[in-house]
Amino acid sequence: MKVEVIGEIVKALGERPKSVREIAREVGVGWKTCSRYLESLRGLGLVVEVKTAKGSLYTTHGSRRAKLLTVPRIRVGASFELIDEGPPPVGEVEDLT
Amino acid sequence: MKCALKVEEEAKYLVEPGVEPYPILPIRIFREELEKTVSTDALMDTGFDGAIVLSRSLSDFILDRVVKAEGFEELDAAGIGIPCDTCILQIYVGGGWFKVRAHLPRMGDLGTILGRRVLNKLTLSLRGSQGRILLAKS
Repeated sequence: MKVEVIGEIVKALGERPKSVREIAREVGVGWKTCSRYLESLRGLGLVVEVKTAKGSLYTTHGSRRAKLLTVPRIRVGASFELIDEGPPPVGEVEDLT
Repeated sequence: MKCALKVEEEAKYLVEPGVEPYPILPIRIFREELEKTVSTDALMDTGFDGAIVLSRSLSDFILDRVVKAEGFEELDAAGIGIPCDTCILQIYVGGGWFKVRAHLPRMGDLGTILGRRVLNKLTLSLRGSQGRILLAKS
């Protein structure tokens, strides 16, 4: 496997999830070669395959950015207050990280 | 059929001239190093798929005086990448505590925004015509 090709694939996937054909075209390798690279990268946990109705898309692991569809016109929470309150009860915090 | 949900909290819409009223929720933020709990308001924004964005003043307070950033992430705000520090916080909203990854923008001020990562855990009734938000125990 060529390091340059791996770099190009990861770079191409940084923008958005893409199909094998799209990646192959952008990277400049054949469809089968690209597929082999993606399979290896998937095995290493660097690439994630997302199955859709129209076929598989590939994305880099953890590349998804949080999205804010519109920028609010007002600003909430400019002021805040410090209050005397202890930590949350143990075992009652749901982990959403 | 009778609704079996019990109202836990009530919040209200923020009314400002020239802008459609916005639903806001009172929240509390806890981090061990803070020693105290922060009480503030956050804009409910179902168009944000993260957990929480902190206002400039709150970000500065938390980063400058209390917590060091634990990560970096670019927030996609309407197609514009906003560099953000991230840190783990515990927030209280709608009768429950949640451990979340907060976005602290390095530039500009988006205000404090509560996104779907948290909102999807709540049972909410938006009564826009009355300017009220009802939160039920899930």
